[in-house]
Amino acid sequence: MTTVFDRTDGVAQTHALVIGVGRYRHLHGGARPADDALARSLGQLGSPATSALAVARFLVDEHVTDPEVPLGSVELAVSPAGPVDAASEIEVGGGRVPVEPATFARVRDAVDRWFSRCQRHTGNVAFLYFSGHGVAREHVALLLEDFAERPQELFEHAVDLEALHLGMAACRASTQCFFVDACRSVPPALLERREVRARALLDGWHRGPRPDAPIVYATGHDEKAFGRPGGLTRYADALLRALHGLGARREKGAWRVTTDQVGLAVAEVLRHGNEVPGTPVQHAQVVGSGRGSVLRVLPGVPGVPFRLGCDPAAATDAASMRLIALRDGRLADHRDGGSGDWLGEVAAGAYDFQVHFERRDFRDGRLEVVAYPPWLDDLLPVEPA
Amino acid sequence: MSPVEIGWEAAGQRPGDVIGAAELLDEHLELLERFPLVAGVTRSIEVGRAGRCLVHARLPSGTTLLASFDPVSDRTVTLRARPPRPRPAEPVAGWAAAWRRGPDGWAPSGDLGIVGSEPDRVLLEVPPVPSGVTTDAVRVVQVGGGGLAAPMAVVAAGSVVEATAPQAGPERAWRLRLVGPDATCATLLEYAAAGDLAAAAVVGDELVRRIEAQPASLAPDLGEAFRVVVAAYHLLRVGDEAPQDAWGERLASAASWLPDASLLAGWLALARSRDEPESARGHFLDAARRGLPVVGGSLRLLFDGLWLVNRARPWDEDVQVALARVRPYAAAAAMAASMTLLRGRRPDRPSPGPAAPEPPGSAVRFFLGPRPVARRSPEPPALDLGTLLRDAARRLGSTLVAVRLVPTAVRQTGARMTVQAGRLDFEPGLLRRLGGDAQASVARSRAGLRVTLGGVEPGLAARLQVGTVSGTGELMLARFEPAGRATVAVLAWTDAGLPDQLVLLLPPSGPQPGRT
Repeated sequence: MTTVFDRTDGVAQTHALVIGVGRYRHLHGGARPADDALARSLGQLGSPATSALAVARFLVDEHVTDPEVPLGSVELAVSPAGPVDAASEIEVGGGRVPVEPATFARVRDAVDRWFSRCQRHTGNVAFLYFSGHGVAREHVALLLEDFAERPQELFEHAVDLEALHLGMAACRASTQCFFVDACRSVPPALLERREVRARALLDGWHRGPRPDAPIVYATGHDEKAFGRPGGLTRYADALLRALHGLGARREKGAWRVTTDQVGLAVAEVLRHGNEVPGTPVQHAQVVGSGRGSVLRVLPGVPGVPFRLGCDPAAATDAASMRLIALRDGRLADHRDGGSGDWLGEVAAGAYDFQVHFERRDFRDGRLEVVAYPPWLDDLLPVEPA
Repeated sequence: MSPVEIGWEAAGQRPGDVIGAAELLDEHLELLERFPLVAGVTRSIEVGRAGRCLVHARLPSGTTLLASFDPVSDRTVTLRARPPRPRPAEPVAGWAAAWRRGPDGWAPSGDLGIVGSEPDRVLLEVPPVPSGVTTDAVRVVQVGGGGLAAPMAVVAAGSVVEATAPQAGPERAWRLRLVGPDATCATLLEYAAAGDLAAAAVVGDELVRRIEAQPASLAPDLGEAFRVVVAAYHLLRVGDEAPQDAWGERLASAASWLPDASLLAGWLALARSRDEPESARGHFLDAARRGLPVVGGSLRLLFDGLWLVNRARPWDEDVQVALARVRPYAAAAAMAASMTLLRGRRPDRPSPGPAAPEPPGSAVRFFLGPRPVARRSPEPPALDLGTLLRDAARRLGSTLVAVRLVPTAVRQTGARMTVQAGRLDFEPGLLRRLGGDAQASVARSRAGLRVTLGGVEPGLAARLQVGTVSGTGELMLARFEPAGRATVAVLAWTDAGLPDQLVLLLPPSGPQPGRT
């Protein structure tokens, strides 16, 4: 059983299906590589298992007590690529629970259980996270550990993501989120195939109102997703930051992560990360609805990363910079020296950004800024003295 | 507590266009209200509580608007615009071509114009269809060059598309963005493509409100049909099923123009549980028969609609045929874009992988970069106007200067090259006089020659005039008018290309005669 957490009851809850695949038996570097051009062009992955476990741990550790949609269950299937990747256990409630590998049969059964639990309440949130190989044609095929076991039917052990998304429309859970931490690459060997027959897993035909169900892809079409071997993928890091508060708005007295903000937050975190030299560039994309349904209520005020500087850039290095909270006049952060833009994180709020030039080569200045999720990025124009 | 008037700057936008969505926040950043930003219209807000408030907006262009105010003491507030950090523009030579579907399939057509040019972007316009024509409304705009992949944007005739070269990234392809002619629709589609779904919902609700305020037209024009399908996509995304009957009529009228209307009718039929699958099936088949839909994500919806019907009716050969026809296009289409964006060499050869084909013969060529990538003529500007200029300057008490126009966009038709856009090449002395950062771009527009001046102090810009000199020596001058942070002058001009040079009338640098 891939069920590592189950407190399902009759109220609105979050039911998660989390899958991480780093080990591929029949791909390049696997135990039994398949004699197929597409299988030979894909290899083992060092970060999906770690990322899937981190997402599952976040849910188990921080989402159980959510006041609106607390965690009801977690189905977790993980195939680590090797010792550098994650362990195959997860700590739940003080004990360690073994994690099953992400083979097609186990994932199919996990989807059935996930669907059944989500089905029990219209207020439920269906949460899916997949990390591993993905290949794209008209739909994205998510490759499981035993992908390419039979070269005669290569995609027998792959899941048709968009078909699963369409099939979930028949589920009563009115909020559904699909976080797809996978490449959407189009390997040349894939172009030679007339069509890709990955498995839909759920019957697609459904009439009636459709749920609020965004898909947040890790990449654009024919692009790759990146991760550090043994560490988190860039997408998993961005998703966890979005769930921790960068995808939140404050409504009805609390900061809430919602379906219409979470994808934008993931995309913005990745976009800002792209500007760090040496970082492989990756663009998230959001498709489908996003009607503002609540995914999470935060226990406090989220931190917001910022990048501040002066225009012209030469003034930034010469400036002493302060962030003063406008609400109470408190000094929130400061920098008295350094080179390049000022990077940091402050609690969400409105601030007075003040710059002072000790050498008086520029005139002092100030600017009202707002640290509002997902990011604060501003330049204060200053004049030479 | 009296209402507060919130205003904002909408550079170059038509009054009434929705340029973005804003959020009204209290001092704790509690969201009080979301509202559309309409060009030329202030927003009256009654906060009804004490404590400082903020208005915050992020436009699809990346510009942030922000202002704080005290609802007790402030009566008017103007949002301050903060543009995104500038990115260096790399020199790159590009081309753009339009494709049109005829009886024998897709073929290049010469009807594509450059209506604006900046160092990092170029604006391309597909001419509108003549009045009375109700078919043949879809064009494909392809942009390539510089070793980058050449995506194809499927657009309605009359659309304006912005092309920029990517700075970095795995996708070395030109970036295309819909910017007009309906700025409200473009704002909505750009928000949705960027994943800013909350902002998209605000703009979408405003668009729906405006459409529903008018009676459904039985014979809409293309612009109206486009607005209806964009609004219907919004309704589908937000799951609003209430107005479906009225929208069914609107979509039926719009279907003669755009295939999107049929596929949307199919999805709205699916959302109505009382409808049988046959109803949706008919709409999806009709959409597949009509050709390529234009709104971003629509090919995925069309494919998924046919795929669902095929699952329910695996014996249905018509659906299988339609699915086979749509499949290669769906595989080649970007999922998150404001327009249908295809990969491949030409519209009838879509491909999931990137392609960098040679341009068709009718392509328009252009150059992007910090400086014009055009070779300077070995000769000085042909000041064949010399005497005329000096005389005119004396008469006007000002200085009249000839300025060379350096082409940045050229259309090639066979062996003939026609300049479509360019930049004014200020000599160092003139540049110093204009403030050092001056730059000016020139493009053909429907009204004539559009000269956009930037980097000049507003007081000086307001006193500048730009002009042309005809072959008979007639001097035509136009004043610059403010348009956002730039100033724009429009000169009457009927030739196909652009002139080699323009003249700039500079105000007297010292006290004017008669004044002390």
